[in-house]
Amino acid sequence: MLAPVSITGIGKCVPEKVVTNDDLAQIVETSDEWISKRTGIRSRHVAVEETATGLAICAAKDALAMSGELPENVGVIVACTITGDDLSPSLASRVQRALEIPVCAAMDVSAGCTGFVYALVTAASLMDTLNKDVAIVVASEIMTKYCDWTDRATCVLFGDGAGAVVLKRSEVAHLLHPILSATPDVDDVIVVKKENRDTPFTGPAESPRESIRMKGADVFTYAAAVMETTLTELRECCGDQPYNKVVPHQANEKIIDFAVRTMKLSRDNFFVDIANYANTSSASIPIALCDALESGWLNAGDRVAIVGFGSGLTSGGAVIDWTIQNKKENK
Amino acid sequence: MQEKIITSLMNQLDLDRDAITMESRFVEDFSMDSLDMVEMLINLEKETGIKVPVEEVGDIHTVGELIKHLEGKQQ
Repeated sequence: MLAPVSITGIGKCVPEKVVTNDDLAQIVETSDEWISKRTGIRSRHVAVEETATGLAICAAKDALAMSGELPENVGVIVACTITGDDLSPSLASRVQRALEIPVCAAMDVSAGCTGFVYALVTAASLMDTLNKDVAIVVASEIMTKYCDWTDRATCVLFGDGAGAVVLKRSEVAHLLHPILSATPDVDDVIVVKKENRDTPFTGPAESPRESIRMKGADVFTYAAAVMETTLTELRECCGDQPYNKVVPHQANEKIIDFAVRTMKLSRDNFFVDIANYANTSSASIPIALCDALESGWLNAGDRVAIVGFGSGLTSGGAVIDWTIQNKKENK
Repeated sequence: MQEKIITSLMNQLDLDRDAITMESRFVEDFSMDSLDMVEMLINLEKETGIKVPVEEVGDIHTVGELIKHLEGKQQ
């Protein structure tokens, strides 16, 4: 079961360097028109000195500051990443140390681009199981380190960044209707292989550097299907109080447009910021939630559906009754 | 079959009925890319129940050729 929680803080952190489509045209044979027409992407943030750990800490700090919670109140940290800096300790443990949280449960989850939804549900579940009142959920990715920068079909699609939220136990549940799912990726539709390492007992390691490999048509077919089924299921769960806004995983604008048409919703109901970030994998939903709040699009009282899909093949969604007032509304 | 395909394309590409002929070319006339083609096949499967893998449409360039292909699969 999920503990009854509300989101009381949110933060994001992205690398300083912005790489435009025109910049990429200097590296691979492509153009702003080609990329933006097919994906909706215009630019992305790319880590130079930044790390997945550093971005996660920065986003989590901002979220905790907004929530007003003291570090010693945090009982659970769940982080998600597929591009973490260390195999061990976990990203969550790194965040715990940096935020000087004395004692808490700390762990990472891995569910590809659906990671944030999985982490959010896991954190709320752990708050119930462990009887904790405050949790940090943080997603951080340095996708550009895993791009094949000679492959124009994939390197233009990804960016780096982190987003975080603070969950606080509340009298009424504001995180509702969790859906987590996965179907076997029998065709290796999305794969990022780990670097091979040799030992005295193996032959020399092959392919020392592996990159993101993706079958675009298959990904689109899967994503379109799970966006529709997840949003439909969430709509049914909501009954006569349907969600009025959707913050989807930002992988490709065409996938979002497909969902808009299929769900017979207005494009205005969907928050889309892929133009500025590209696909930041598990970080895309919390970054989008943060931008949605900062821009004034999202406000207290909104019922927002989040929906993600990614390697695995995983998918997930949930409904959030949003409680944080945006600053634009306060002015 | 023909009307289902044309209606599906009208909805997906926000086109008027008059803009779609049997000779209309997906890439040259509608500026469709590979993902648009995948979306079209997903929509057509919903409308007709006929599944067409994207690999099968590599040599299909016009609306008329697509209708002929789907009618062939239907039989």
